[in-house]
Amino acid sequence: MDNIIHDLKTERQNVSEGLPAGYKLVPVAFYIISIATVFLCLFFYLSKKAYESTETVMRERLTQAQSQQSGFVAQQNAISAESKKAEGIAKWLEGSRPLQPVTVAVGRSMGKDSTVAELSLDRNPEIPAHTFMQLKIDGGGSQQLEHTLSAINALDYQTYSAQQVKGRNSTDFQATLIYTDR
Amino acid sequence: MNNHKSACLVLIMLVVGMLYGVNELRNATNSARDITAQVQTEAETGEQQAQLAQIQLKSLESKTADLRTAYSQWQPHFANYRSAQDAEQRIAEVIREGDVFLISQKFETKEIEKGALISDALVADLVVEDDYAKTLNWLGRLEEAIPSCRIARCNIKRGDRGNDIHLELKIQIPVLR
Repeated sequence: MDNIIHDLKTERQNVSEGLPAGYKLVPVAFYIISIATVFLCLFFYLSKKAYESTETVMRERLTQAQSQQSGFVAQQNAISAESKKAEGIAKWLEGSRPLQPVTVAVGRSMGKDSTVAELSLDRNPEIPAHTFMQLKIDGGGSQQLEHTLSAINALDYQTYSAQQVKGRNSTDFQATLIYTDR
Repeated sequence: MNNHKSACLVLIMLVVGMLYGVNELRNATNSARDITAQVQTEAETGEQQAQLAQIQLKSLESKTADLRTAYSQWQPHFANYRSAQDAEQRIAEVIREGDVFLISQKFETKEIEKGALISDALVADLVVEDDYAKTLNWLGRLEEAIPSCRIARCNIKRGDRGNDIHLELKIQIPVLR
């Protein structure tokens, strides 16, 4: 212990009394702490550098993830916008099915003794997919009407709210036609 | 205070200084560790959100695939008519090509649905009287030539002459602006 303590002073005669026994721990503690400080500083410095390095990597991952997410969200928005337009067009097309096949089917369904006196097809302004049909057939009677409705059904149209009025030699029929995708 | 005690005091101060320095470095390291942990959590959360966004994108793509395919097929037909004049001209061409006897025609631009994709349409009121087969064939060609058109009203009566029919049409052609 004396040798360790004496390391701190040059070779000379003591001009004062030695330290009390308790005070001798101070230089010992100094040596221990000095050594520990070197190791701890090295440890903490390396740890700090490692954390900073990891942080840089994580920030790059975060930036990349955010960039990817932005790209995906942008694509989602583009698809949503396109889908919205597509829905608008699909809605329009749903109410725009060609009516010429119906007129032709009605005309071709007429038998020898029957003729179409009048055929009117009006789309419902609120629900254009619903077409209100008014048909007046001269001659033929119920059988002719059934034949005509079968021809319309063959085009995948269903008749709803059908009403039929029979005259002396004519039949008035009206119904709502709705296309049914089979 | 003698020299020994002064030396002890100096050593104690150095010890305190070293402890302080080490503690500061420890705090800085802990701070760096906390920041790294926080950034790591953010990065992992960000990656999870990116994965979620990718899954949602794929789901949205598959859900809307049919709709968007139909849109890509139909959009050119709608894009042909950017103004009422385009639509009017097309109808005139179809009438000329069909060579049907046109009794009257009236065109007007009408607002169909405010704010919708298809908000405006050219509304054409046509009255045609010609041979039965010729007129119905022409009607079919009209719907084929302008696939985006909607026949809002179709009224067929007997014509004035033998095999003629009197056809009244109300046609709507969407105009995309």
